[in-house]
Amino acid sequence: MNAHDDYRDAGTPLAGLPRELAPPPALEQRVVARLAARGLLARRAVRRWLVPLAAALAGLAGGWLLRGSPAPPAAGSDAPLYLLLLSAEPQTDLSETELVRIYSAWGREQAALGRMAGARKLEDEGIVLAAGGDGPAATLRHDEMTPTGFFLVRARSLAEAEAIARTCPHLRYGGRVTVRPIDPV
Amino acid sequence: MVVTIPADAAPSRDLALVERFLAGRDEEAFCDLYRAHTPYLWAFALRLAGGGASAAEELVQECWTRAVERLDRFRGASALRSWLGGILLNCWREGRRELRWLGEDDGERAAGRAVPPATGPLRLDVESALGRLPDGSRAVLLLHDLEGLTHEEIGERLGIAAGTSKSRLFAARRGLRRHLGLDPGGTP
Repeated sequence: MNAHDDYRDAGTPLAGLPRELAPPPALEQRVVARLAARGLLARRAVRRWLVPLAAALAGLAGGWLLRGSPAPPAAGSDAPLYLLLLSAEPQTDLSETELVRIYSAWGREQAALGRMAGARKLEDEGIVLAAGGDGPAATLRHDEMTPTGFFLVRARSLAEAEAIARTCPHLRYGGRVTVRPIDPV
Repeated sequence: MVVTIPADAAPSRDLALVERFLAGRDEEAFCDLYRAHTPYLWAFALRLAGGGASAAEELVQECWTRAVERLDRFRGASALRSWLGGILLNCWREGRRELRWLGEDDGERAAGRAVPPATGPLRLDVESALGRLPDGSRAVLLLHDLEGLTHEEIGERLGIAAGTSKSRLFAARRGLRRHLGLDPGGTP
């Protein structure tokens, strides 16, 4: 036995250490974001239907819409606001190009009618906080009801907002649209 | 693609997770891989980094980035955990080389380290004592006493001679016991 064996026989103080430790909860999102930024990961955000939605919303948010539409507002610029919250993935065999064209055409049509007050696609990542807990935030899990984007439209009533929402191509292909009045207060 | 599925459940699960991820590079498939192996990588990174959480986070991020870049080359010849651990160790070695180049030394880093959160006083003591060891000795100790590698394997992974690994292990164990008050004299 040489000198190195003395401590081996005595055992290592590391023997009782756990081989696994809980990583910081936010680390997962940071790793995912880095991988996505380097093109190593297909993010949920690039689900097929979100591409046309993003393209449509980018066109709408491009400036001309929010600076004033070419046609007078159908509902009036002071008409109540309604949130059209989009969720769930439509099922269609249409090409991405065709979907972009359809979503964009609908958005422009609503803008031309003076109904559109805003539109955004939500980023895919997110966290969920529970009331009263000091624990770590949960990573957002996607399901049928998880919002992925929204349109903000002006309408004179919930019924009119519903009628607008029913024309949205997102709904036409099996997606889900939740219509909520914005509290004017 | 032909994949040999070993009898052991963990490698089999790992290969299935890897295949699923490579099929579409889907985020959810990656998250399943991440959740299966990051607790191990996190513990390893935290100890390699001497208890520094931000350094350990960077190590784990870089480790996963490199792993995903070359995951299509993983064929299950070794356990995925060992494969990932090897990548993490390389990331750490490269980071250490950079710090050395910038003029930092092991002693300076060891002096300013935090320790990971502990579940009990004994573990806190050991984790703290680990963080006070020089980087090179601590790595050998972790690889030998926690990872179960031989001195030859350690030598290959760290780019040192097997004899150097032995002497570093001896010094690390002695230092650890001294920091824990188990060997007050600290005589070899």
